[in-house]
Amino acid sequence: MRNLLAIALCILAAGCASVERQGTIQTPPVEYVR
Amino acid sequence: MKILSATEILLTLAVAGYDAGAGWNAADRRYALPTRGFIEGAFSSALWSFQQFFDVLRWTEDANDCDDFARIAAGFAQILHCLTPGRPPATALAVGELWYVQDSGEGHAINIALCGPGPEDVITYEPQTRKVVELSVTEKARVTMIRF
Repeated sequence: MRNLLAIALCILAAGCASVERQGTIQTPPVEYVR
Repeated sequence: MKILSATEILLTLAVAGYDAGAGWNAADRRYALPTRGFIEGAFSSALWSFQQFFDVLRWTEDANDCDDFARIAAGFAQILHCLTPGRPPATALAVGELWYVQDSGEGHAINIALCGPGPEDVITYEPQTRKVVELSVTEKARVTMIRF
């Protein structure tokens, strides 16, 4: 039973693990109305 | 640089035909205005890069649907404003969220921006396609929420 609980927790932890993302986000300056 | 107060923002929307009875909220006191060229060009390209980076380009029921696209786009616009060197001090950016009932009867959420001081400068923007869209007169009258 304890083993089953440990396995379930491991699966949950894996599902919640953060994802390392690739790529870049463009951050252009805003052009304002003058 | 042209700056509008929250009151001027809401008055401009009223003159442009948006339902004044809707839930309108302007959280800040002063707003800088983005150009329409910026929204259609650099902003749209950058928004795509943001959506792609976080893998939220695809519509997903409730988890990533119209209100989420609109919220992310408005927040991202504010981030760009905050990062812009020489931005007018103590201002927010006049890019907000708008919820309304489409002529089809379905509710929808998009973005709204003031790209100038006049009612003709109010634009509506579909963050799922990253294009400026037009609302009909009846859709403008069936706005349920605007938030800047």
